[in-house]
Amino acid sequence: MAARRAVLAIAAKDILTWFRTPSAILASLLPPLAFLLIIFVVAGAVGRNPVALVVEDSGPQAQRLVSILENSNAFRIQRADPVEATHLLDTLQVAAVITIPASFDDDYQAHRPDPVSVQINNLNLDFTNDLRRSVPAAITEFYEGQPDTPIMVGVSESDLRAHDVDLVQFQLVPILVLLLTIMGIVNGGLAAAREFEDLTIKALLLSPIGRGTLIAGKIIACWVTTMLVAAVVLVLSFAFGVLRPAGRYWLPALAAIGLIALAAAGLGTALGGALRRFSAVAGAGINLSIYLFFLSGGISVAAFLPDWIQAIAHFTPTFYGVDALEAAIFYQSTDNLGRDLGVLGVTAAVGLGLGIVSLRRRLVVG
Amino acid sequence: MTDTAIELIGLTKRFGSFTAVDDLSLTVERGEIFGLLGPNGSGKTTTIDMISGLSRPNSGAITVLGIDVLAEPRRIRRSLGTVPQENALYEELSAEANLRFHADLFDVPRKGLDEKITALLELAQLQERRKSRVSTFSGGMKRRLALVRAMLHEPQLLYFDEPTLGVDVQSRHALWDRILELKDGGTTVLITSNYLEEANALCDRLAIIDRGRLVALDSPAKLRRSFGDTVLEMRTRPAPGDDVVRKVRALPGVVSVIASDSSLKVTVEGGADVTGKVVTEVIGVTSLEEIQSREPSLDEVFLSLTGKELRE
Repeated sequence: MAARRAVLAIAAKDILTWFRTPSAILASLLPPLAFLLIIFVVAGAVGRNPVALVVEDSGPQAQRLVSILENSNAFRIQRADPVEATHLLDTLQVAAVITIPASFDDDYQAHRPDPVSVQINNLNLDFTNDLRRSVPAAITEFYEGQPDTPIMVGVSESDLRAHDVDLVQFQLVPILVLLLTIMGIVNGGLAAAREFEDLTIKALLLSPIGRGTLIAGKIIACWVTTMLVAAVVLVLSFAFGVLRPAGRYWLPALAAIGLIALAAAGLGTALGGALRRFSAVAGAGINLSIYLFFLSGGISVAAFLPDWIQAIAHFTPTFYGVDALEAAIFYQSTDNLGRDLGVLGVTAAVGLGLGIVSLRRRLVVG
Repeated sequence: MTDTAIELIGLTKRFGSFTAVDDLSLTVERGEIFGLLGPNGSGKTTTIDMISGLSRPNSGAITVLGIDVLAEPRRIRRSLGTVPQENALYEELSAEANLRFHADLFDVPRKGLDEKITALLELAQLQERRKSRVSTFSGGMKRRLALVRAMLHEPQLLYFDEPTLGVDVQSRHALWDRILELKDGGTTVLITSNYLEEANALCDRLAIIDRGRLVALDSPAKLRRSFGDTVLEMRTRPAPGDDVVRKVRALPGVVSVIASDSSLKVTVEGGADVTGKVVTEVIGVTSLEEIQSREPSLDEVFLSLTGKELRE
């Protein structure tokens, strides 16, 4: 009973201290927020390119093509006359100008070659290739729907996943994992380091509690704080419809989140015990979390990274955390779930072990 | 129940080739205020760490309140209250939250805890600031809070490291009064201090350690007397030369002679006879402008025993 009371007291004290320490809150939340902002900006820039559309033909076929282009996921269409369109392209307000000429319907009826012209601002290859792929795709779709087309084209798409995932949504999972690791590592580290830096460790050592009680209290505090922040993020994401595990898939999602938080809390405590300085822990913790973020496919898909990075990624626990959460949240899949949760479980055990060993070593006087 | 609060026998602690505490033996009786004095690096903190069970000696035995500390270090900490020099308070928590946290660590019964905390905050004159964060407190307020926190679990043995460090004069005397009240209530108090005035005012007995060894152990009064019974401070014109120092030092009953600028400080043992001979010798050689007679101070005892100022 006495040990439980002490564990809860240490945990409550650390949680309260975290809430009252703006520097610790900022150190934990700013990096994930910064990456979130980057993702929004990048998604806005590369997701749907702004394109000016000049329509010089009012015929039905031309209007059908306009409708296809306007409903395309690849463009943000802005209607313009030829002069405006040229100005928009010259001033970098659009990535391309698509012109449907006045003869479009006549050419179509006469089976003359496709007359649609595309003027591209080939700013960089990624940008240009998007347009090079998207415009022919829209034209293919146009011809695909024609009963009397002489061009027999058709695309048979077979999807691996049940539904498409928006880029921002997709990137939110690694950012959630980054938040969990940074919360755990930085806060676990700061909570341990603060005791040494503020010299309060002496008050704890001179109390009748055991070392295990002290370490348990600190790790629980860090885990609870991390889970509280994760809960806020999940509730907001659920409310806005961006992260919504369906039905029973909540369970593996929560298990993965809990294990990542536990592993990070253990690692953070180990770091705090080793460094014993607030600034050193914050610097090392943030750096470590960001490396883990990138190695787990933070701003890309890990499977598409160069082979040598993939090899490293497979030894990165957060890679498995991202995989488990993507499967549970986006694809309602249990593929690799056992493997992912197993790796996270082992990582949590190792993290806790390191935290205990590191702090115990520091708690021995002479 | 034994009358001995602390018993150290042949305590030795080494860090590599450096011996921090060297065969230290002493006894502290229950209900006394005991001072442990020594210059920086003399082994005081190492000794206290071993008494608290934080550190294990290389050899020797430690018994505190009848408990073998080496065998049951956690048990002894339940009966030990500590006021470390750095206070070790949680600055982001309120005064009350600090006390509640301490109560949880020491498993103080919840029944009556509110009243106890209120009484202690009143004692520390912090009742009106009970909900304020410690980070907003002055040094004296923090010290008072650390003191009452150590009393919360009603320890039988209280250890103060520099009890009134950073405390204003008014608060210092209030804290001294409180420490003396604790003694009257039967609590054993162990003090380490660099302020000899404080040690003199509070302690029943003093141990002076230097380089890890016990160099003196007695009551403040007896320690002072062991150094001589009178100190004569004389201002002369011209300044006292080597010949005066040599002649005075040769007199029977003179313990020490220190000459500096225009003053001469002579410590004597043997009362008025010796004092008279010293004065006669001095005025025979030089002109005496001013003379003062007083008891030796603990600083002088300390300096003579260790060769160092306590706060150097």
